[in-house]
Amino acid sequence: MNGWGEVDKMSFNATDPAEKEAGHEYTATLSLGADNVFFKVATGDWATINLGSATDGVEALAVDTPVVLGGANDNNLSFDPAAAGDFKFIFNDKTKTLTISND
Amino acid sequence: MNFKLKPLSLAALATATVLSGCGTEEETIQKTTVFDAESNTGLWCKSPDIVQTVDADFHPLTDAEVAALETVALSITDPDNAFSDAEKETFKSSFNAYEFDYGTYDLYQTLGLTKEEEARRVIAKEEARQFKIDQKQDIIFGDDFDTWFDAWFETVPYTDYLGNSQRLPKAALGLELALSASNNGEEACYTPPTDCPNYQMVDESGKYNCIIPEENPIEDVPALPQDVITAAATGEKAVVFFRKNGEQVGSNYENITIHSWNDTNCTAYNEETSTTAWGSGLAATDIDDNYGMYWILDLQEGHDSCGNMIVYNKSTGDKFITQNDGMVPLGKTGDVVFHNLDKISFYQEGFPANLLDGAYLANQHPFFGAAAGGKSCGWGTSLDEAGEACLGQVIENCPEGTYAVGVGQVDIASKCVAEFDPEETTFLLRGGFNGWGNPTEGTEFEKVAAGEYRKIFTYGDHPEDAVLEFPADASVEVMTEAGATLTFVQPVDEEGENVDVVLDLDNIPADTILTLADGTAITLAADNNMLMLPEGAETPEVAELMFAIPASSKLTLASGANHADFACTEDCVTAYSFKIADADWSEPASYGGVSGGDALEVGGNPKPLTAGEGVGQDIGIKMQDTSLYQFKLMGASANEMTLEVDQVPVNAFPNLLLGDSTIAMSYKGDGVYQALKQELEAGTYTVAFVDEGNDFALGADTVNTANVNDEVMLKADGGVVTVTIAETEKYDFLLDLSDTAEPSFKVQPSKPLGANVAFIRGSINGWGAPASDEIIYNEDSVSYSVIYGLEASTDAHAFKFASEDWSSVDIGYGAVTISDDADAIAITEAGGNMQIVADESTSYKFELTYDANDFELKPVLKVSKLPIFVSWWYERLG
Repeated sequence: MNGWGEVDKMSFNATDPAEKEAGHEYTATLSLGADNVFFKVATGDWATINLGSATDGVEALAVDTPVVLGGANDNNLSFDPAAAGDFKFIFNDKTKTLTISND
Repeated sequence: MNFKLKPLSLAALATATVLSGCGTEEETIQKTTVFDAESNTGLWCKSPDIVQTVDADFHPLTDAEVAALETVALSITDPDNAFSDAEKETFKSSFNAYEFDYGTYDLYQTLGLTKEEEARRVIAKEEARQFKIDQKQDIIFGDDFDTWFDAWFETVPYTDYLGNSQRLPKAALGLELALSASNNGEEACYTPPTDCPNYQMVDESGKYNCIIPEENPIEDVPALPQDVITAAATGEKAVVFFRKNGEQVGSNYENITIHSWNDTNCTAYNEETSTTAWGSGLAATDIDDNYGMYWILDLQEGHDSCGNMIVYNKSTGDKFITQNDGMVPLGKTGDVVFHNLDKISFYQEGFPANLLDGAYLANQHPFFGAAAGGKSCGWGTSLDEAGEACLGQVIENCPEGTYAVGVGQVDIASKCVAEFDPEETTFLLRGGFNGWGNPTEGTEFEKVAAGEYRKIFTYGDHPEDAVLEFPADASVEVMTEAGATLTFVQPVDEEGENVDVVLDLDNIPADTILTLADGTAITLAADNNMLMLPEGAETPEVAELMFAIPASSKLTLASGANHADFACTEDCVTAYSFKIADADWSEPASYGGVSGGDALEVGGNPKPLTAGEGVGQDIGIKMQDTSLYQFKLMGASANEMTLEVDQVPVNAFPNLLLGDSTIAMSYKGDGVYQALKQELEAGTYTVAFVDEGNDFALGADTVNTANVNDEVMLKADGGVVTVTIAETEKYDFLLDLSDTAEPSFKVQPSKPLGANVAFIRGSINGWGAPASDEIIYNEDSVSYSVIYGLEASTDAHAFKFASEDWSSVDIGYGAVTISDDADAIAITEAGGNMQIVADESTSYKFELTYDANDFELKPVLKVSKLPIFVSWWYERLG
C-alpha cells in the first residue's frame, strides 16, 4: 500500500490493436492483503481526473461489480478483499467506470 | 542544371569575344589609336586594355604600402594569430605584396584612394547628392541636409560605387614597367579589373561602362528550340526566354507570364497580337529544357530598338528579375545599349537585369550575368547578404514628423517622408476601375476612428475592352457550342514522332475534366497536363491538330488553370491597379504596395502599405463584375498603414443592435459578418442589424425568438429577434448574408470551434468519430483536450482533429503549432496528419490550446503523458 501517491500507475493495453490502437480503458494489477483499503482514481495533479464515490460518503466496491465514479463530497472508495491476492483494477476515463476483478 | 561557362576573365573576354558597346565609342577609338599601324610606332593598347596617363597611382608600392599589405596578408593567413615568431618570419620572408591573394578583403582600408579613385569619388558624391535632392530629402532635412548628407555619404563603402581598389593592379603595372616619377605624363596600357556588375568596365575617364560580347559566353552552347530559330530568322519576331529555378516543366511555371507593351520610349510589338494587359499576360510558346519558358512576339515594322517587358506571376503580381519596368534589347549592331542581332533575350531567375543607361535590360545571351561578379546597387540601396538583391537602406535619423520608407524593399531607394496629417487628409480610392479617382467625388474613404478608414466600392459591368479571365480560385465550366473545336498541339515523342491518343492542353492543370456530350468524362492525367482520351474515343485528326468537340460538351477547368485558351463569359475577373491617395497625390498621403511584398489578396490578411513617391507601388486587384469591394485602411501611425480588401455581399457596414448597444461587426468572409465574444448574462436580449448611413436594417422574418445556435431568418426592416441566453458566457453573433435574398443570423458560444463538435480521429481509432473521442473545451485554458490510452509501440500513431463531416473542422499538421514544452512528446508530420510514437502503455493527453485573443491563430498542440493512478490512503479516511 502506498498512501496518497503516484505509484500504482494504470497502464493501457489495446484490446484489439489491429482495429483500434487506442482506447479509454486502463488497468493496474495490485497485490492486496485481506484488509479494507480506501482509495481514489486520479492524475498526478489531482485535477484533470480526481474520482471517487459518486454519492456522498464512502462507497465500497465488490469484485466484478462495475461502479460509475464521481466527485461527491467525502467520497473515497473502499475495497475489502475476502482474501489476499492480485486484483485487476479496470478504469474507463470516459464512462468513469471502475471494475475490480480477480487477476 | 546550370551551364558551364567559359572562363570569363577579362583576358579571355578579349580573345574569345569581340567587344562592342563602349569599346566602339568614338572617343575610345581615338584614344586607342595612339599606335600608328603604318610606321608600327607609338603606344598601342589591345582591347580591353585602356590607355592611361602615368601618375603616382602607377608607381610601384611604397615601403609603407608593402608593410601595410604584409600585415593584412598575415591576418588573412593566420586569422587566429596562432603563428609562432619563427612562422611569422618565414611568412614575411616569402611574402610578395603583388602576388598575394587578398580574396575579398577590401584593400581601400589599407591603400586608401588613388588619385583616379578620389576623382571618381568626388563625382559620385555629387551624383549621390543630386539623387537625394531628387528624393526631396533637402526639403525633409532642411538646413541640416548638408550635414546629414555628408555623414550618410561617409557610411557608403567605396566598393559600392568605385568597384574594388585599383591601387594594387596599377602598382603592379608600375613595377612591371619600372615606372617612377620620371615617367609621369607618359601613357601606359592598363587592364582594369573585371569585378564590376555584369559586363562593365572602366573607361579612361574612370566611368563604368558596359561591354557586350557578341558571342555566347556559354561553353557547348545548347541549341535553341527550332521554332525560336525559325522566328529569329524572319527578323520580325522577338523571343523572350525566362528560366525559372527548378524543374523545367509546366507546373514550375504556373501563372508565370510576361507583360509587353508599347509606349513612347519603346514601340516594338504588334498591338494586335503581342501586347498585354497587366494581370493577364501572354501565353508562352513552350518550355525549353535548357533555357526555360519562352514567348515569341510579333514586332511592328520599323520597330524601336527596345521592347518593354516584365516577367511576373499573374496570380500574385510578383515580378521577376527587376521590380522596375524592364526592357528587351532589339537593336542593330553598333547600338551600344540595345545591341541584339537575333532579337532573342534571356532572363534567368536570381540574376538581376543589366542596368545600362537607366534601362533594365534582358541579356542577349543566356546567363549573361552568371560570371559577372557582384551586383551594383544604386544610391539608397545596399546589397543583401545573399548578394542577389539591392534593398532600401536603413535610415535611422529621419527628422521628427517624418519616417523612413522603402527600407528593405527590393530595388527601392529608401528615403524620409513626412507623416500625413490625420486632421486634414481625406483618402481617396484611386484606381483603373474608377478613373484613378477622377472626379474625386464618391471615391472618399470614411474616417471611422483615428487610424481607421473604410470605403465600399461598387464595381459594375466590365468595360467592353476589358481582358476577362476566369477567377483563379474557382473551377470553371466552359460550355462548347455545336461544332466548336479546341485546338491542341500535336505532341511528339523523343524521336519527334507524333504520339496519338494524347492531347496537350497547354498549361491546363491536372484534374481538369473534359465531359463529352455523351457524358464521357475525361480527366486530365496527373503529369504534364496531358489529356488521355478514353478507350474507343476517336483520335483527333493529326493533320489538323484539331479536336472537334460534340455540341454541349462541357470542359471543367480545374482551380488555378491557365485558361488563356478559352474565353471567360460568366463571373469573370479583370485586373486593375490602384493606390490610396489624397486629391493632390501628395507624397505623405499617397499609399501603394511594398515592392517585393505579398500581393493583395481579396479576402486575405491586411497588406502593409507604404507612402513615398517611387516607393509605394501600384497595387494589383482582380475584380469581378457587379461586385462590392470593401476597403479597410488601418494603422496606428503613418508608417504602419495596412489595407484589407474583401468582396462583400452588401453595400453597408452592418452593426449588431444588441439591446441598447450598437456593436460594429467585422467581415469574416464567405458573406458572413461577425461580432465576437459578447459577454452576456443569462437572460433575454433583443437583436437586430443596422447601418443607418447606408439604409441597411435587418430584423426578424417570421420567427422572432431564438435560442443559442438557432439559425434565425431575417428580412429587411423586420422587428427585433428576442434571443434567450441560458448560460452566462461569451457569445459570437454571426450575420450570414451569403445569400442576400435569405439573410440569417445565429448566436453561438465564443469557442474557437464555435458550435462545432470535433474529435480526435486517426489510426488510433480507425479514423472514426466516436462520442468517446470528442475533444472537450475548457474555457479557462482556452483549450480542447481528450485523454487517450496508447500502447507502447515503435509504430507511429497518426491523428487529426476533425468534425464528423471532415469539413467544418479539419485540423491537420499544417494548422497547428507544436508545443515545445519539456514534457511534450515529439510530433511529426505524416501526409498532413500529425503522428506520435508512444513509448509507454499509458494514458496520454492530447490538447489544442488557442490564443485567447485570436482564435484565428494556429492553436498549440501538445501531447503528453498523463498517467492515471489508483491512489491509496491510510491515514485520512475520506
